[in-house]
Formats: sequence, C-alpha cells, structure tokens
Amino acid sequence: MTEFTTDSRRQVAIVEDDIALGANYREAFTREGYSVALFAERQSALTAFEETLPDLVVIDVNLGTDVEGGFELCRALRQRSATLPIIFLTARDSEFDAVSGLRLGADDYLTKDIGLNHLLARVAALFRRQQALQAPATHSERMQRGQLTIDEHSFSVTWQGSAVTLTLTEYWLVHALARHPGHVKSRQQLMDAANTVLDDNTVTSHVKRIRRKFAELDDAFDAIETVYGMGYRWRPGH
Amino acid sequence: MTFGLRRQLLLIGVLTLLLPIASVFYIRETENALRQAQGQFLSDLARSTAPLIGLDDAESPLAATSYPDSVFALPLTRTPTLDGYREDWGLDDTARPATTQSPAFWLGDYNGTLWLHARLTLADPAGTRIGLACVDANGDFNVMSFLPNDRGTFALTSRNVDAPVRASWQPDARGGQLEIRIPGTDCARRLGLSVSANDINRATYSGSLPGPVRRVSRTLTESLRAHRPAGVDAYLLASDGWRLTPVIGDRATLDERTAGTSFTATLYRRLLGNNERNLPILSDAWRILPDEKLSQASAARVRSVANTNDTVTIAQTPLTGALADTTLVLRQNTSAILTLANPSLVRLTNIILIVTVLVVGLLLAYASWLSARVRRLARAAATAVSARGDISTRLPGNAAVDEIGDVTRGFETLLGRVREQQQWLKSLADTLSHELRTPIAVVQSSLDNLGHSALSDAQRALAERASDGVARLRAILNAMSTANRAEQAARDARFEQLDLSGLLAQLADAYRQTFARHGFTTDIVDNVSIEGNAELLVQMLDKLVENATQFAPDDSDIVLSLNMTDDLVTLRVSNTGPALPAGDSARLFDSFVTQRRDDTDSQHMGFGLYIARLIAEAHRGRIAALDTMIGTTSGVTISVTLPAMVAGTP
Repeated sequence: MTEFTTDSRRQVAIVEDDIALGANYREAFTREGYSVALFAERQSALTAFEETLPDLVVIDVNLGTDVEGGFELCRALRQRSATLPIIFLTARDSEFDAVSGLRLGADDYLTKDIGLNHLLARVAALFRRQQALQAPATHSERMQRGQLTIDEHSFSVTWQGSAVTLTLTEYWLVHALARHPGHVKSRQQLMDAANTVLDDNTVTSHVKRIRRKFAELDDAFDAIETVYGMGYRWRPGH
Repeated sequence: MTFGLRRQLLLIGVLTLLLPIASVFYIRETENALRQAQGQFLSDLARSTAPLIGLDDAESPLAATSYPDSVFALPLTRTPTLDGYREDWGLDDTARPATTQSPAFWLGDYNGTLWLHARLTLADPAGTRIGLACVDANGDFNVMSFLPNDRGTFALTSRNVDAPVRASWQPDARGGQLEIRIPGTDCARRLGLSVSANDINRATYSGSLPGPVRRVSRTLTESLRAHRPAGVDAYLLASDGWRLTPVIGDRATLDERTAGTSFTATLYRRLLGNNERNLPILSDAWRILPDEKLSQASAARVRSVANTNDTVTIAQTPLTGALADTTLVLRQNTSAILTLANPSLVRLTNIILIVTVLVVGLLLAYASWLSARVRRLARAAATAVSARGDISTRLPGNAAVDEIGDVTRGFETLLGRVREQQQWLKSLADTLSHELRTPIAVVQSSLDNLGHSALSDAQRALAERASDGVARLRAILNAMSTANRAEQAARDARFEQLDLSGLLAQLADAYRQTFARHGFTTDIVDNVSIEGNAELLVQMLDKLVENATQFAPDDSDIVLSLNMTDDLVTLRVSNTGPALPAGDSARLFDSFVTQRRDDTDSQHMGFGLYIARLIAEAHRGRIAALDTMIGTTSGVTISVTLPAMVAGTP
C-alpha cells in the first residue's frame, strides 16, 4: 500500500479493484505530476484515509465482491470532508447509479468509457475549481447571461444570485449552452464540451438533472429549451 | 398430401369391416364342411339303399335297361285330345323327344295308351308319304301310312292291327304336326316313324328300325318308393340318360325359395366369390343329354337345380345285377344347412355390418375431433413465438385431461422455459455490456499511457490502430446500452396529449438544417393529436430520418407524411434508394440487424430501427418497412401506425 508522502505534489487516491486498470491510472496520474495512492478495496482505503485525506479521490463503485463499496466509501468520505473532490469512475452506466452517486455528494460520475486524457482534464479542472473556491475571486472570469452567472475560474454557477451546485459535467453543459444563447447545441456538441463520451440518453438525463437543479431555486426556470431533432439551446434573454 | 390422423383411423375403421367379412367366411366354411358331411351321409345312404331296389319278375327287363334305339314314353297325367297338337299333353316345354332318331317324335303314355306327336318339316308334302311302323310281341311288322294331303283326323289301318289307330294331321307352312293315338296293344312293343317319297307301295315303311318302347317302370317305382330313405328324394337313371322313375320324395319338386336373393345376400356372394355359381347343373328333365350327365362315381357333389336358386346335395350309386347300367340318385336339399341363403343369418350379418359402419363413423368423428385439436395445438405452437420474438406461453386446450392436454401443457412449460431463456439472454447482453467496460478501459488506458512513452512511428501507428479498434468496441457497447436504456425509457415514459402535426413540422425544419445534403418534403395533415411522449417520438423520428439519410442519394428528397383515419394515425418516412434486402422485413426492427450490405460503416450496429420499434410499440403502435417504387425509382418507406387519441380520454 502506498502511503501518502509529505511531498508537495497533489495527492490522488484511486480505489479500483481491477489491478491493471488501477496501474494504468496510477501511471497516468504520476506522469501528470500527482502523487498516487492505489487501493483495491474499501477497507484498506478507509484505513489509509483515517490518517490523512488525499486531495482527490477516484472511486470505482463496484469493488470486487463489495458491489456497492464505492458508494459506501463516498458516504464515509463526505462525512469527513464536505469539500474533498470525489469522482466516480465506474462501468455502471445506468441513470439510477449516476443519480445515486451524485446524491452521495460526488463531484462527477464518469463511466470507464472516458479516455485517460479526458479523465486527467477533469481532475485538473476539479483541482482548479477547488483552488478557486478556497481562495475566492481574486481574478474571477465571469460570464453573465441574464439571471445566470458563470464563474469560469471557479467552475461555479449562480441563478438569481443563488449558487447552483453542479457537477463538473453539468457545469460544462450549462457553460456550453449559455455561451451562445439562442444557438442550438446538438447532443454530440454537448458531449464534446463536457469532455466525455455519453450516449444520447445520458445527455438527456443530464439536461433533465440540470433543469431540476435550477428549478429548485426557481419554479419558473425554462432557460434550457429542447429543440426537437437537434438538441438544446439557451433561451436568449435569460 | 399428409396421411393424417383421420385417414389413419379411417383405415383402421375399415379394417373392422373384416369382422362381418370374417363371419361370412366362417359361414361359408361351415357350410362347406356341413355339405361334405351331408354328401358323405348321402353316399352311404345311396350305397346301402341300392341293393334293395329290384325288378319284379313279371316285368320285362326292357323297362329297366337301356337300348341304343329305344323310344321312351313319358307318363302323362291326363288324356290328350287328338287334335294334332301337343300342348294339351301337360308336359313342360323342355320335355325332350322320345327318340334320338329322325324324325324326332314325342311319346306319351296314359294308362297304357300311347300318344305320338311329331312336328314334321316336309319339302314336298304332295310327294311324301308318312309311315308308322309297329312291331308286335311276335315280331310281326305292321306298317300304317298316309299321304299328308288333308287336314283332319282319320284312322290308320293295318291288317294285323285290331285296335283302331287314329291320327290327326295339321299341315302348316313348313310341313305339319302329327298326333297319333295308339291303343295299348301288343303292337306297341316297338314304334317307328318314317317320312319317305310317295313312289312306292303304300305299305312301305322307309325309316329307322322301330325302337323298343320303354315306359316308366311301375315295379321299380314301387320298389323305390318302398325303400327310399326318409328325408331324401330318389330316382333311377338309365345309362342312356332316361329317368326310369319319377322323382320320389317328400317334396318331389324343389321349392322356389325367395330367401337368399336379397341384395345383401347377393352382395356377400359376390364378395366371397360365388361357389354355388360354379356348381354343375342338375337337370330335372326326363332324359339327360350326355353332356348333362353327372359323374357316375358315388362321391357326393353339390349341384344346382335348374330353374331354382336352390342347391342340393346328390349321391349316385350304380345298381347291380340285371340293373347294372342303372343308377340310383339320391338328392337332398341343403336348406337344412346354415348357409348364406338362410335369411336369419343374412340378417345377423347385416346387423354386424351396420354396427361396423356405425363404429367406423364414430371412429372417424373421433379422429376428426382429435385431429382438429392437434391441428389447433400445432397452429398455436407455430405462432407462439411471434416474428418479433415475443413468446406467448398460453396455448388453447391446456385444460384438457388427456394426453393432448399433457402435450399442450408440456408445450407451455417449454415455451415458459424458452421465454425465461430469452429474458436471460436479454439480461446477458446487458450484463455483458457492463462487464466489458472494465477490460476495455484497461486496454484504452494502457494505449493512452503507451501514447505518452517514446514510440517509433511504426509503434505509434499500431497503437493508434489499436485505439481505433477499442473506440469501435466502445461504440458497440454504447449502442447496446442506448438500446437498453431506450427500452427502459419507453417503459417508464409518461404520456400526454401531443400535437403530432406541429411536432413533425418543427422536426422537419430541424432536419433541413441538420442534414444539408438532403431535402425534406412534408405531407402533414393538420391537428393530429395522439397520446404520447414527445421525447421518445422525437427519438424515434431521429432514428428513422437518420436511417433514411444513410440510404437516400445526395440531393434527393426524404418525405415525411402524417395521415389519420378514423382511429389510426400513420406516420411515414420515405426515401429513394436501394430496396430492402430480401427476406423478412420485420427482422430489420430487431437488434443487431442491419440492412447494410457492406461493413464500411462499422459504427452502425443496427440499433436505430430497433429503438424506433421499441418506441412505436410503447405507443401501442406498429412499425413496418416496405419497398416503394415511384416511376422507376426504388425506395423504402417505413411507416409507424399509432392509435389516434379518442376525444375525451386523458
């Protein structure tokens, strides 16, 4: 088991029961300059996390015979830290699992289809966001679209002044739509913007979730319009 | 032509017809056996009776024996009138002439008076003399003759004949009929008739030697009457074919019986081959012609009696001594034997036949019923799995308590297992797509890492190729999970009233922008509302349009049309392009089925139309593909038929 060292590198913990896949992740993350700890099952990861929390955790949901081990781990970690970035990286692609994972407070829910480069990009983005949140707006890059404000530096979104808690994928989708109001974004374009490989249905359910999150703040929210046969667009004037 | 249950059971049923046939055979065999026994009995009876028959010394043996040229006087039952005709003699038409010599004549004997009749053919009546010769006990030859000129009755005289001999002549076109009455005198020992030319002495007789006159033997008749065994008919037959006695018996003439001539009895005889028909005929005539003579052997034979349908058993045995060339004939009716001629037996056989036919009919009806059930089961089994692969596990007739019910229930069990298996396969595809993600991720991440290490150009090219392969593999998995998810979405979708006309018009605009290489024309009926889920329907149309654009040549038009009849809404997406592949077009809507002939588009997994079908079916609709031909341009139309929303339903 790799112990976290006290070096200055960011520490990423990967909980992945597939040894080969874990090794590949470790290699890629190490190459990117992260310090990587790899765990194959929940208990050893928890034991390690007792001593010190990593800077970011990538968790597989299904850990060998421990089919929901990833979820349990996420719940335990979230109890320890509200801000620790947690990414689910799993083969389970059902919407139900995604919703479950995100409800537990994960920052993103990715399927293993995602390439290493996309994964690394996300991890980097999450670190950026965390950094921005911890050291508030010294040089924020804001985008204002009516009642919507997007801070591109901290990856944060507010609607009517209230923060909307979006996952990274959701953030990128909103960002892609709001950047050019009135322009239709196809599902493929949205997938590209979110740096991920999703199928049409997943895009649809992401948009559904985004709408729901906005609707929690504002019952009358209808800024994201479905353009049948093409995709979605941000209603101009919002 | 199949050899169905009905035919098989009919065949078996027909086999039961063997029952009455067998009974008829049995009757015939019994009949033969009884006849043989009767024949044996009769033979024995004949042999024991023969020695008892004897001549009275007073009677001339002439009466009992045969002479080559004898003339035979038939016993008459009444006195004829001397009128030249024989019709009043009381003989039947078949009575044969008294002599084998020429001219032929008939001789009758009534109480000792002889009557002679002849039908003469005269070439030249005027130049003809007819002579009658008789020989008396002394051997004196008396000749009486006349010229056949005058019609009428006249006396014939001769110097040695005392009693008046009278004749009657009735000339006709060919000659004439002659009747002569000869009183019972010595003269009548021998008789002869001659026809000769009239150029000689009128006393001249120019014919055959007069033959000895034979009569029915009174003593033999008495002897036979005395010794005849009870229950049989008996007579004596001379070797020259003349019967020497009348038939003596309880029923000297055989009954004309009507029994045994019924239709069925005749039918049975025909079916079995009529052995009676092949029997020799026993003649009842007084004189039996040589070819009518039956074997002299004493073995019993069965003979038919002329002019009756009766059969008899006869036995013949020669007498001995002075009567050595005389045969004793015993004759017994076979009606005592149980035969097919027996009406009650025929009735029994008829009843068996009718019952058999009834049984065959019942069997046939039963077989039809069975066969109908089996065919219904076969039909239900053939359609239990629909073209779409849906399995119905309920079959008609599963409540039946017999073996066909067992078979039906067995089929249901089988179908249930198949359905479980099918569901397992479906879930297997799902599971598989999940299970494959991790190994693919291993390969993909390994390749990604490899890309960051120092590689030669050749190695990099290989790594990229491997990467492409993994991308394709992932696309397949994504298509599969898309289909799975669409299935789920279709199941869980919430339906609401929907303006399909407006939706389709809006979509057509969107498609025009998205697919720049094709034109889109619409033929949309306004105000068509259905109950449905817009997102699903849009997804379905996306798939159909995407499919159409892949086959339509560039710059061709894709036609979107929407029609409504009373209760059905029909949505069509038509494109020009290659026709559908031959085969079951319904299969196009199955997963992993593609109509592409080449595999250049390896990303295409054949899920598009499958998803379209799932969505159509979620809307209680049907989807179908058919070839269209506009002028000489071939094309394909995919039509989705959905139930229209009935006003008032939510």
